[in-house]
Amino acid sequence: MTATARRMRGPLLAAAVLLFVSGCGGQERAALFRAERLLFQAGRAEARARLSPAPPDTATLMRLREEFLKVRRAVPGPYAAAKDSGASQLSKDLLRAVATAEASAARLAINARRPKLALKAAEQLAADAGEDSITGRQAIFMKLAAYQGMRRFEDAIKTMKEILSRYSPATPPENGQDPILALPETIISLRRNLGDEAGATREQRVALEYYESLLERPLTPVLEAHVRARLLKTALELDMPGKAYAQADDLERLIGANPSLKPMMAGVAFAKAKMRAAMDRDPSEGAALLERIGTDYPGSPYAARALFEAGVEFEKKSRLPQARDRYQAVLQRYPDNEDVAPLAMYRLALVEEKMNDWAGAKATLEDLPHRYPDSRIAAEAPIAVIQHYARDNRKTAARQYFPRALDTYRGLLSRDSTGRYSALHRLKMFQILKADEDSTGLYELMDDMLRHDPRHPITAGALLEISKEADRFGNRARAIGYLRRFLQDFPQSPMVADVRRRLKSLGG
Amino acid sequence: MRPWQCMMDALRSFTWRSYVPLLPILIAQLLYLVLALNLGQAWGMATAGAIGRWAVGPSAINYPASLEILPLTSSYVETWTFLIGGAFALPLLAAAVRMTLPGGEMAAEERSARLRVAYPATFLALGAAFAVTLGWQDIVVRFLPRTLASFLGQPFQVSLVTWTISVLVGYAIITAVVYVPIAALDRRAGLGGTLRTGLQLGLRYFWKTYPLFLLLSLPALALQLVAQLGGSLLLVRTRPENAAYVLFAYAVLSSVATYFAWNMATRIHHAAGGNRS
Repeated sequence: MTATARRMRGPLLAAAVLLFVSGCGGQERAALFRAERLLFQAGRAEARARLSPAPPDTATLMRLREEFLKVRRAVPGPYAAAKDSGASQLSKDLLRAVATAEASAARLAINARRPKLALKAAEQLAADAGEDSITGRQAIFMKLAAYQGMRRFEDAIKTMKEILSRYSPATPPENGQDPILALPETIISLRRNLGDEAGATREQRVALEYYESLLERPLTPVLEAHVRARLLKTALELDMPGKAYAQADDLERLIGANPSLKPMMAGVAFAKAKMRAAMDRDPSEGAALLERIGTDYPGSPYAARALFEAGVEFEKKSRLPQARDRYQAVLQRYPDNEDVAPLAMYRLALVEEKMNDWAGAKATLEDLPHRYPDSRIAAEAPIAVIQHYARDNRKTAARQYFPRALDTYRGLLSRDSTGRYSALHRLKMFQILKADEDSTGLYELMDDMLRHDPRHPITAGALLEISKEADRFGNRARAIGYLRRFLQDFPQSPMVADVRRRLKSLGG
Repeated sequence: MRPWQCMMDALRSFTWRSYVPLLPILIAQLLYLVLALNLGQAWGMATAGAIGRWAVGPSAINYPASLEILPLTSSYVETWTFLIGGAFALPLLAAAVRMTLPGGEMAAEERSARLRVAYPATFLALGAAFAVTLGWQDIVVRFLPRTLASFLGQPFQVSLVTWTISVLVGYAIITAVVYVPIAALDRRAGLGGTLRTGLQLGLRYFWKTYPLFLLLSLPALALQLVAQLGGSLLLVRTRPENAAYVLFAYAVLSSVATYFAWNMATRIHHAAGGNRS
């Protein structure tokens, strides 16, 4: 062997060992490291952007999205974990790192009002997920968020039902919730926001069946307790006291056997007190039990709700001064509770009206949208004033109040033109403009609805209404145009046949 | 000649030729840091990643945990490279310095013979010193923070005092064995005799050497403090990679401090009448 060859033997051997060792899982580990690094850097960039005084604008959000998309570009598929459910933990971690990045990118796209990008990413991730159920679950939740961002609410509900049928809920973490268990309530809430109360009630029954079906399989005590708590809540809302009592007793037994579930006792106490107050002729004892929840479980989310429900029970039994006192107590003790305080303020106004204190009631109703602009009930407040004048047969006073009510709704929309209840605010404006026979205002509002809530069921209903109004105002071309727009935007609607007939009758 | 003068002479007498024996140790340490910064590549993961996993566990190869614990893993690399590399480098350095001192010349054959004893003696001395230091640090980590916490309260103050005590004791232990490679070059002796003489010299010259050893190491120690106690701050407030850059600088300064420390120690021994063939 030559001297050169002898000298090179050592380094060559070392290089060969290095190459061999590199192939032994090093590549996949290195890929995971790259993914983690890019994910960390993207997360840090987003955290820094959100620390600035002004919220990030669309351009910034899209730039941040690009940071998260770098992860997939750095470690493109296919992924071993997708093909083989028995793949190594390393392979699974790699796929899930990519999934986390894609989910963050989708979230930013939705925030930037580009939900179609999020939908595309969700479909791509679902395809990549393959056999990995955790990633598959993440992908379908991304799709759900995208549909909600695109205001394709029926598709969102369909997706939620798909999740419920495909995936089982997991034991929630301490003081946490499982997102799958929360879906039935999300569906109910969405139906209500779409103005479909009958649909919401239907979904409550479906939710009841779903929770009952979960109890047929073996569950961990914590998961069982969460399921029973939701079952109890749904039974109460459906006014099924027998079922509610049975669930309350079972839940109480579970809590007794598992000390870690003690915080859930507030929910049981609330349910039992509410049923007692509802069933007794004199709600005082039940109301006292409800009010005790604030003392016994001060940090519980049920504390505010219990006080409010005490007021509701007094109101149902026409004990108006006691009801007023409870509603006022809610506003004093829990002014920042966004779930209950706006409702308490609204009911306070109605109670004041019943107690012939119209000045007080009007002031409360006018204050409500300013104090709780993001609440659903804020949309009802201006209309409630008009309805009071209408009930009192004071048509002039009602008409004179129209501009003030419209200004209130405009104020709410200027805060967030595409917020959760923006369609509802526009619907109320529509009703006022229709009552005022303001054709120009109605046409402008319709354009606004088509721009901001194009596929909303409220917009569908408004198109049909405005078509009738346009025809009544003598503008047949507009009437036809609105019907055609309905057929274009809502091709799956059960009203399509009727709309086609009407269109034909108008000569369109 | 007083120790301070020996230190100043050492600082004035840097030569690349005498520094070269320490260079492979520095290169190995810097190479580890380069590999640790490249865990995103297969070759980085296969080398530095493997070392990290062996030393600390699976968390050593996640980002940014790998950079957060880099001061720990690089300290393991530093210890082993210094132990193995230093066994050769320190006697060669001492010999190179000795040759420049009056009466310190040696014939080539004599030099080789004494170096052949110096290598294993230095290895054993350094090994023993590191073992004692590790044992001491184990005691420190277990008991000292709890004791200090009751006096100091603030966690950062506790960490700082613990680190300071740990460094002071660690350097004292190393000072005790500094003269082993130097003593091996004085005359031909067996392994046991060399170790005994080296330790005796270390104890004799302890207070001449220890304070100056610390002084020479101050720049490196400052960076070590930043890397070990400020790691989380670097992670949160700056980029995690900055931990590696701090350690880069630390490795260079530490190597330079080592060179001057052994250079100085050789001169201290010479001034006390040693280093004569």
